[in-house]
Amino acid sequence: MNSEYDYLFKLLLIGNSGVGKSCLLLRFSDDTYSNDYISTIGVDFKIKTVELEGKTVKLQIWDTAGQERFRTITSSYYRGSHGIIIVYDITDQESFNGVKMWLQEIDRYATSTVLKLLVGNKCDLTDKRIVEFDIAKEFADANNMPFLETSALDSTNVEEAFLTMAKQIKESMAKQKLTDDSNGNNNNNSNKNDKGNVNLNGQSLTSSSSGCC
Amino acid sequence: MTSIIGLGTSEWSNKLIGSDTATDDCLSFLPSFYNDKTIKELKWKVINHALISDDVPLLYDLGKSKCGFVSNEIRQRSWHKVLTSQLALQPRTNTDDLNVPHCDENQIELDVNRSFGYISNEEIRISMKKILKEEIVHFFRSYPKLRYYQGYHDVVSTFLVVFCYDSKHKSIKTKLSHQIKRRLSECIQIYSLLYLRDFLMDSLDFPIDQIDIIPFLIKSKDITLYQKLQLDKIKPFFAIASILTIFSHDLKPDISDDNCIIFQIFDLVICTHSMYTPLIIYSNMILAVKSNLYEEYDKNLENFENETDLVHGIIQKVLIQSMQDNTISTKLWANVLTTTRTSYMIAKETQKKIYKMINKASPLRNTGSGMQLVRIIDQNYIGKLIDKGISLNKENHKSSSGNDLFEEWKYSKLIKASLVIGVCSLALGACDHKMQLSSHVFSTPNFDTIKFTDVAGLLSESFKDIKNII
Repeated sequence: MNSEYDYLFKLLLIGNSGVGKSCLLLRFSDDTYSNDYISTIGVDFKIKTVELEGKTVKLQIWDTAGQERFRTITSSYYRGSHGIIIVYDITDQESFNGVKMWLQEIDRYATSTVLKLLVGNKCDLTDKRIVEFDIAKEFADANNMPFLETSALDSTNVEEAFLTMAKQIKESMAKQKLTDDSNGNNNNNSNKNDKGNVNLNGQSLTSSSSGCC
Repeated sequence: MTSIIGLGTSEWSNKLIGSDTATDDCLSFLPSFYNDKTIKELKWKVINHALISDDVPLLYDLGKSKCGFVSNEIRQRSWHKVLTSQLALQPRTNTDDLNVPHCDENQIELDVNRSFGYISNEEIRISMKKILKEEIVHFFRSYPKLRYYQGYHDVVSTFLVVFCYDSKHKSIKTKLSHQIKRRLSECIQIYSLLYLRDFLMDSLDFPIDQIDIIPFLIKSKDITLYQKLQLDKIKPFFAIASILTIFSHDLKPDISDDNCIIFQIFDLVICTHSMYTPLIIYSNMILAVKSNLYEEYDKNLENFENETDLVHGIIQKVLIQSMQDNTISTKLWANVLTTTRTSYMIAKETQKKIYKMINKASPLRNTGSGMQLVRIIDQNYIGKLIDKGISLNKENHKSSSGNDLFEEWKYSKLIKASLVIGVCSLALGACDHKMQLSSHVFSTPNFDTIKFTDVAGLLSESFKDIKNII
């Protein structure tokens, strides 16, 4: 067991270009904001350690480029993710329409047990809102994922988004552990994966590609 | 092992140590009592002389030597002279198509809006964004078959900063004369057409092939580092931003410094006439920071869950720190560029191996191959290369269609391999018992009976298959 942390979670930020993925991460990790913040080329990552219910959780957050062509690269980073945050821009219908495609990408490349969170960013731009809260909420419910509206600019819900994700993962792991312990064996792939993901290094997750469509 | 990057490891470390005292030795024949400023002034005069006397070969040498073209005012003229000596642009006869929007203009807008964050003056920043958008849109409307990629805006931004430099006020001027504007556009066009074509297709397949050359270069220089980072197993995606943007994503210019590292890198690419140069620079950078990489690798073993993430994580951390921390970066970059300047040539044999890794229309084979130019390239030739690139990219994409199909293909091959093994073991078992096997065991109808020799033949074929598959 590593003494630095109790849990290590790998999170991934995906979504169309320009929805504010990097700004959300910058707000969460450094508590700053810049309107001219650079485009992400390929994949970047940051580490942020948080306290969650008395436990130290190290969040390894991978930020991806939104342009379609980069999907060839970003898909390699889905492997072993515990949580994926799909971001859209509430002022851009196209980016909300894109969420379906991002969900397909998750099905294709992530482990079947990965947890998802839908985030509608730029909620400070009330005058320019195009995607209604209720519609996005309904969509998120239908797809079994929590939903939050955030603003990287004024910090609304940013920390909550990442902590919601972390909490979800922690709970899911506790549940899996319970199932594992009571059953004494792995009756599905997900148990095996989740166990392997905590504090183990170089754990191959190839066996987990059962989620492929 | 063929040395590609030129210097051996010991020479490399000597260079690192030796260059502690090395200042800007642009004109190395000058006595050491000349200070940096004097040396730059003298080099400026030589560059100016080369420009006035139209001595292009001398300009190439000056751009490749330390400090490159020294300052932005003379760099603009030098880039234009060098680039127009490489490709002759034909004057546009029909300007109608410049009114037809390109399909990537939405993405261009998104990236332009996020450019020049390092310019604190808002008015200048807004004007720069406006020029940037005009230039990028103009380029893609002029070449509608080419596609915009995120990162291209960083490359064009670098040209803008050089051409908008105001040497009087050591700042940026956004009102450009007609002549400077024309030169800027021509430079962007020529640079893109000669060097960036692989990146301007509608997928990342060709750039990914290019970054695969980095591990290949590292392997020939330092096999231990190559093995430690497991570069045989992982894709070097960590290098994609640096290569797609020729480092302009990582190295934002300081607008008060007109001889930033990023400008010198562009000097080097243009004057070596080679898109191997960014790949060599990247490999040299990895080699230069290898002790930090070793350290971080061991420190972070527990922080990552697979090799791809670990290697990406530590390389990103070490390189960004080294590139952006002023105290380390100046010396480090000076050393990396010095090494690259003395070893940018790719040996013929190495090039042959690299050719197998890249497409047949790649700039690495022709317009950016680093080979001395025998003639000025014309636009028709570029047009053919673009068309060939597009069709190869399409074919490539059709045959692989992303990772999925590749995975499926691998999977089906594995199933086939295991089936073959299974069938062979059955056959072997059968022979062992001197049994005759009826045809229905095998899918091939010719197998009425099987003898040991048949099995041996089948086995050898199967092993060949398996070997191919693996």
